[in-house]
Amino acid sequence: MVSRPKLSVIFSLCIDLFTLSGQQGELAHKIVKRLYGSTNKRNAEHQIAKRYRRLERARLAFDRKRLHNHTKQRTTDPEDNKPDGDSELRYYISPSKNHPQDILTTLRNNRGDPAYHVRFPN
Amino acid sequence: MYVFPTKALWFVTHGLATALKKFLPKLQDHLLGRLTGREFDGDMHEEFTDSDRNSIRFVGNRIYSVQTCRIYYTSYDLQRQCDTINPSTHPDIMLRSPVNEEGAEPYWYARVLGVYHANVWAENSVIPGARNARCMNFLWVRWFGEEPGYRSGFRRARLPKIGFVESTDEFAFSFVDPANVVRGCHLIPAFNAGRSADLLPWPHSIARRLNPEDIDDWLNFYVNM
Repeated sequence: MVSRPKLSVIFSLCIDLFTLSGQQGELAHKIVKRLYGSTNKRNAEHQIAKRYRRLERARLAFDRKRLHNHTKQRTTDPEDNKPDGDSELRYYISPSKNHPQDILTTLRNNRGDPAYHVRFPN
Repeated sequence: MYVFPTKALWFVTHGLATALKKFLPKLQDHLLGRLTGREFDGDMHEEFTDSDRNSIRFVGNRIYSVQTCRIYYTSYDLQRQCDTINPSTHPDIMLRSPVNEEGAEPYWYARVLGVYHANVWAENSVIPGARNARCMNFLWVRWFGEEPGYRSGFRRARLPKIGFVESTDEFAFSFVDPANVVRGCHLIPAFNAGRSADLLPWPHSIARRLNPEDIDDWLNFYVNM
């Protein structure tokens, strides 16, 4: 059975949340009413709460996306926007850093190899 | 070819430390040359001092090795083509020779031993924006030299003939800016000249990356064209 008092508890909770985020209490009321309409009236508080959390997460995700797009636009370098068919490009070397070589260790490990150390005839 | 006494004298005057011309000073010379905006000349110069060289800094003391480098060029039918240079499979490249004398060979040839990039900054007032770290690409190469006394060309119906520079030569190994590479090239060993270990007397050198099992090199190559 649906019990109205419990619903009002959720309603007041929503009011708290919305007033925190600066929205109208009237709006919160409407959302809860709308969500109540979409429940099957069994354990309605639980269903409303679930849907409400889903809406809230969607809103946060949307905000994050907007913020991300905004910062990306600002930090994009004009160099990154070069089209693929850049006719001035003379060569391409991958920017991969998967095979780092410590210069001094490489030299030490190849001691005696004339490619690294030129020895003059004596 | 070497005139031995001159070399010995050079060795005595410059001392052991500078005579061991190594990988790192060569790399520093090359990067300094590029950062100061000098024209490509094969890095055959000695004007940089040790303090100049030490002003080149590698972020993390590291260079990054990658497998391939794609060289773009315009083909005869005005299409864009690329050659993929891989030190283990297709390592040979050609460059425009900076020597403009009459009768000089128009191209230089080299075998790529490594494709690298590194984040470099410099503590040098000559270089503009020296303190900003920048990514620089470079190829480590083993140079080929022209065969002395050999004439090639269409009129003589002969292919250019080249051979590795002896490893004792100071300019046998050095670095190249990939932007100066014209394209890859195809070399055919001159089988009748045979093989020799004299050019690089070190059995398993990194310089033989193409055939790691080899202990000697073909003495000469023809440039296919």
